[in-house]
Amino acid sequence: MCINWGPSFVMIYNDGYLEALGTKHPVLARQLPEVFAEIWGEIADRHDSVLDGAETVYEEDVPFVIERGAGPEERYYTFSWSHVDSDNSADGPGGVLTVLTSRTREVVGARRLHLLNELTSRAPGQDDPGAAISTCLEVLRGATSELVAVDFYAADALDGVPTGRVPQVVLDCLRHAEVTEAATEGKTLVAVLVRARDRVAGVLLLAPHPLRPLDQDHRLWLGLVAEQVGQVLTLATSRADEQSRLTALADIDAAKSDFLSNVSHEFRTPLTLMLGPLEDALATSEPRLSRAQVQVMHRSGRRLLRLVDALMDVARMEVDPREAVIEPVDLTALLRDVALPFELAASQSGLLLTTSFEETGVIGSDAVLWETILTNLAANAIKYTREGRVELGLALDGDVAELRVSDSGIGIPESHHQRVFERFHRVLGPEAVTVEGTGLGLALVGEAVRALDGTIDLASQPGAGSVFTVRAPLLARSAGPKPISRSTVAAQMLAEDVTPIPPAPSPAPVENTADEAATILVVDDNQAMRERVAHVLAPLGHLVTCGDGVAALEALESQRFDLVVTDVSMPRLDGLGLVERLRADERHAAVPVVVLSARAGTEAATSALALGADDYVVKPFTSADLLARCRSILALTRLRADRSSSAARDEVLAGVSHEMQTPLSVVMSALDLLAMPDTDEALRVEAARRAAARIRALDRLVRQFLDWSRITTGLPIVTLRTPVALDDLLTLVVAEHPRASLEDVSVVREQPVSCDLRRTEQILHTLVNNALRTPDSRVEVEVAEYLDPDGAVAGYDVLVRDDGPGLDEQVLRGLLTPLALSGTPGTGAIGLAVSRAAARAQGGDLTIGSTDQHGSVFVLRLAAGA
Amino acid sequence: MDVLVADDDDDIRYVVSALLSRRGWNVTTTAHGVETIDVLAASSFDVLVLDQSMPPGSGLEVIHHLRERGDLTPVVLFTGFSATLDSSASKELGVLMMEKTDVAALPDKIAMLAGLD
Repeated sequence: MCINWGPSFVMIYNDGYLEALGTKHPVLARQLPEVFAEIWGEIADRHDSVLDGAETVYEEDVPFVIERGAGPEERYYTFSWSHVDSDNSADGPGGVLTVLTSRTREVVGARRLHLLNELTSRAPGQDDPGAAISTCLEVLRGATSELVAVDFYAADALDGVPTGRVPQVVLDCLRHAEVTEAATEGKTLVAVLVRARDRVAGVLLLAPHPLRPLDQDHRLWLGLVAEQVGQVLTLATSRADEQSRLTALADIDAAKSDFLSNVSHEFRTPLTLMLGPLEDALATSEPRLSRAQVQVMHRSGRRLLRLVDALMDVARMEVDPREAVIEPVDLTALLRDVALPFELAASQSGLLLTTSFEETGVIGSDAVLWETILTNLAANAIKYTREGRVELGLALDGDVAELRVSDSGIGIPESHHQRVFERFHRVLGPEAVTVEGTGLGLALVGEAVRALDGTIDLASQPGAGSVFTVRAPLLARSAGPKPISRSTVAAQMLAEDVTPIPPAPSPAPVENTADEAATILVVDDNQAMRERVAHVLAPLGHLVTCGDGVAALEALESQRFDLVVTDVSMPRLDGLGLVERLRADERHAAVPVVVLSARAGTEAATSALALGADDYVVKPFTSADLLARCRSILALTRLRADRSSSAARDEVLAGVSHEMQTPLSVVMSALDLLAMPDTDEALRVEAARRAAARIRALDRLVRQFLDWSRITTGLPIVTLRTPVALDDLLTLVVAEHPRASLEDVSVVREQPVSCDLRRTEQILHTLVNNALRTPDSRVEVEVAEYLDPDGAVAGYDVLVRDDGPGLDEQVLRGLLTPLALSGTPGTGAIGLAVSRAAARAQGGDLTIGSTDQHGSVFVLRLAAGA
Repeated sequence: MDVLVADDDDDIRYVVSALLSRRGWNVTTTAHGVETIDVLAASSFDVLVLDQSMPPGSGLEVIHHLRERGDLTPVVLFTGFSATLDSSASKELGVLMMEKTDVAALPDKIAMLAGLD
């Protein structure tokens, strides 16, 4: 505090006042107007009025530019000015007591903190590092009370710039990697390094406000500013990276969807060929398999293994790319061995396969990689060639080997030449769709060529065949040890893949889903009209016709349709009634419907559309109009289905592969055990039993996955209903689960149920697995009749009851709804949702039963058979 | 030599035990992570074969538990696709990661880890 006494304000102060004086001290007994001449103009009035007896004045955070020894400086103070009387009024007017608290640190500190906050809050969503820097500079340049000039020099832009154009202080900062200060033309410049993601991103050049001394606090703050800018930059750079990753992921997404459906069909074919003969044999009292059947099953098993190997190779290729292992190898002999099984496969396919391999002798290279290249290229050549020839050739050009695989097959469009070597990519043309494949082979070839440090070229035109040319350096012809003779099992297995497999003795019905053309149902009571519509729409695919709504519903029960085109007025059930029924049934709710009507006018059209029709076409219509409308609706539906399922499919790919790994490992290990010569008989039997059970489980998984694919793309599940002895089925299912038991099922011994055997078996396994999910829980399966309103037996309810902790009924019901379809198949929720859809598709249902205590009960309803 | 095989799948335990027993090794099996930690508290093994996912508990949890008390027994960790685990972390822990489907190579890997070559 300070007392300024008398009309000339003579100063009497204590130590607390020294902060305000700085180097002015000592000024005791000197006059205030003279000591603080620089601000006297601002404070004179207040002193005069307080001296005259005015009330105490109190003011907070008042800014003053004062001299404290290091030039003018902006300081903040909280004041009170009070009048001090003299003891005797004759001694004069008394004085002014000034009590002050310095607030500079707090005021400036708060302002600086605010600026730091603004830096992060103004540039939050930036995904462009350049824009992020601009925003930061804008914020800093707006803070004129702290900084008078701000610039940023990006580190990677400084290379090659004439030194004269960059301030020396910036270059010094960069060179010494530390805060650098310089004073020029009375201005102080501070250069601070900005680091983003652990590297120097550039230099921030700041000119602090001249009224702020460059003290420790100030330097600390400038450092924080640079750090904050660095963080904003780091965030923006990460976002930009993430953005480009997302774009790349979206690109692979489409290919992955195709891949998924290919793979499931690839799995399904050999599984069907293995299970078909087995089931036929089991249906007889003394099961027996012919040598031919066993051969087919064996070949299918190997094919399955080969497919799994390819999947694993591709998965591994991403995680851990293989490097070439150079060893002495007789390349010509190797290629001859590898080619042999393909010559056999080609001749069985009616193709001519010729080889011409120049002798290389023993050279240094990686035999495994060459084998991968030739097996996959040869297998593809045979697979995609219906008639003509396949040629395999090896030529030497100095130290470079040139392997050429050419065919007279369907060829590859130019636009795909680059992408064929990517994972999952398949060329889908009008002919290629009938050839099974996963799009993995060429990806493996590309990777092998890379590891050999070679190149691969493709010359091909649709319809004119393909020529793949691989060129790779051979290392010095080594005189080393004798080359190890290699097994060509891989080549044999791949060759089997492209060998036409004779049909199994009595093949199980396989639905033909390879045909991508639409299946369209035309409903009209007038035969001539029916035929005309069918004729018009013939270019879109396969046409089925029927005479009224009831017949249409029956047709929809047994077959999947991509589009329904219906007349309005028909006997039994008319077109609008048909639309209403379809929309109310979750199996058909997604099938697009086009309504044809003779009734013109917006009202008729509106009512049809309100009921859920996709389009309304007024008779008479032109052929071109109807065709165009149906075509666009089909395209829209496909687009919608693709979009809604692509995200879920990503998860499913991961889920399915993971889910398959354990059973496949069991099967493969069991095969290893069986192949070992000295395995004892009991172990052999047990290993085979376990492997067989896991193959059946795999089959169920793949089937469930296929059903899931159909549901998520809005397609109905097509069931095959036959009379089934429920007691036998339940006994078989329960026997596979150690903690499951079956109650008395004699109630169903007399009458079969009508259901799809495979799917019902699958539903039961899903329910039991679900119940056994809790460790140590037990499950009981029982059967009850259910009666129709007349009291006759209409069918049976299978109750699957567990003693687990139980789940909230709401949650359980949720598991059965299509919402749960976004989960992963086989892992609980999706299995239940697919099971319900399958139960309904075969005329039954799957519901939650009442729970009297803890635990849950699922009820599978099955219709009685004829 | 004593090997512990921990996997929640009964069939995997069966076939892997069978494959390893052929080499004349003593194989002990456990079915989940918590049981594995209990067994390891009472006995020691030359090599451990752990499944990553075996609730309650996981292969990595077992490994962390062991390493924390200074036990450096070599481990083969069965994973799904290896990409789902941080391979550098497992290297620090002295763990060999394998996909289950490579099980044919397991006996040789174990022999290598045990220094039996």
